[in-house]
Amino acid sequence: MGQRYRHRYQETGDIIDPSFFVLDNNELAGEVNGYLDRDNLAQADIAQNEIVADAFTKITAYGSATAYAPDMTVTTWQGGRGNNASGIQYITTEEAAVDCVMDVRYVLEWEWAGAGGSDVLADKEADAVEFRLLVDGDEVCRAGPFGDVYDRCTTFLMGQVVAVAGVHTIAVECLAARRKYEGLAIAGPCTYAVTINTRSGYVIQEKR
Amino acid sequence: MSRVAITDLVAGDTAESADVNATLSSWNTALGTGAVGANNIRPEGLDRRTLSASAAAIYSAGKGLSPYYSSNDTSGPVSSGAFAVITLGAGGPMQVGQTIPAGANDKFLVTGAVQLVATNNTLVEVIIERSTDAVTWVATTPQRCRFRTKASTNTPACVGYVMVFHLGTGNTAYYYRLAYATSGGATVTFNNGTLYVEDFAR
Repeated sequence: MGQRYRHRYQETGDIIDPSFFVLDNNELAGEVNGYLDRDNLAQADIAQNEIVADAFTKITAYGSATAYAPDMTVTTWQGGRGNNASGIQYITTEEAAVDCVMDVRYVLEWEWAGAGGSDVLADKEADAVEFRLLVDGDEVCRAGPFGDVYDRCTTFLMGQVVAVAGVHTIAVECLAARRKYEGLAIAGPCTYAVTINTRSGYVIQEKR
Repeated sequence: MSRVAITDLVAGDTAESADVNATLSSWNTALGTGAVGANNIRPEGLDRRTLSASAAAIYSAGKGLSPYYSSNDTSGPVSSGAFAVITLGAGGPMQVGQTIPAGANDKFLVTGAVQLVATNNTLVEVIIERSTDAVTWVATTPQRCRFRTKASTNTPACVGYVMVFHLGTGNTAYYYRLAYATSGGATVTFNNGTLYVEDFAR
């Protein structure tokens, strides 16, 4: 709101014309009733307590402690269409109230059944698992592949997208396959099984 | 939020004093303590100039990161199930602290990463612990990372990550640190680590 000047300054002895009183007051009331802005507020004066919760950042937690066993006969991406025992993580309810930067972070733990025994030096191959994070179907992060020499370990996935207001889908998938040492090409299904254990993730909507 | 209601004056009106008083009362109500609210402010009328420092987010040091690194630290055997603090040599315990202002409920996202090497076939578990006085610590569960080294002499170094979200209450200091436990009394060496706290105030 900018400066507002009175239409009439009353002098001693004036007969007050109510029309100017009405005009000036209504003009000020019109500004207070929905048009105040940073010009009316002192700099650096609004503290944390005056700001509503989640105004700038909204954090939602996801995860599961239920083990997920991928189909070890499959050598394509899987696990991103279910939760708990039916998948790694599949979120279809992450709604952004306003346009924001969506920061997704995910930690998961996995373990191999064969204790590092899958590698065959003569064939130059070994079992491995790879992970990826998708937002609205687009890959934003990939990790691995990790050979079964890492008997039991954790992986961190993180990605950011500029998200428009609306509902967004977030998925975490794995690809378990036997890999060739050279170029990590897929040689076929794994010899041993990998299990995805405890996993948790957070979606951070960073607004304005 | 209060809106101002103007009682118009009309020439020759015999109730002028009451109308003026009603208008002034309306101004007092609209601009009284705590009366001005979101509906008094025009859309997109605020920007960062009106916000005080740390109103939206607080960082422990620098922009979002308080890394703690150190040289190698070899820790002795630990009984299974008992967690010990990860102390990385001269860097001291991997610990950060943050105080929440009164009246606020801040959102903490705590992330830790450690690189370690353990002896054969060892199960190592790393967790994040929390305290309000840096003396009494409790584990934040269920997220924890676990490593198992290979049952051979060629033990690869592992990198593990832990992450926890915590809603803190106002006027309280919070401290976070990493702790670990191993199976079978094995020896674990922590090489490097990072622990940082992001305080998303609003």
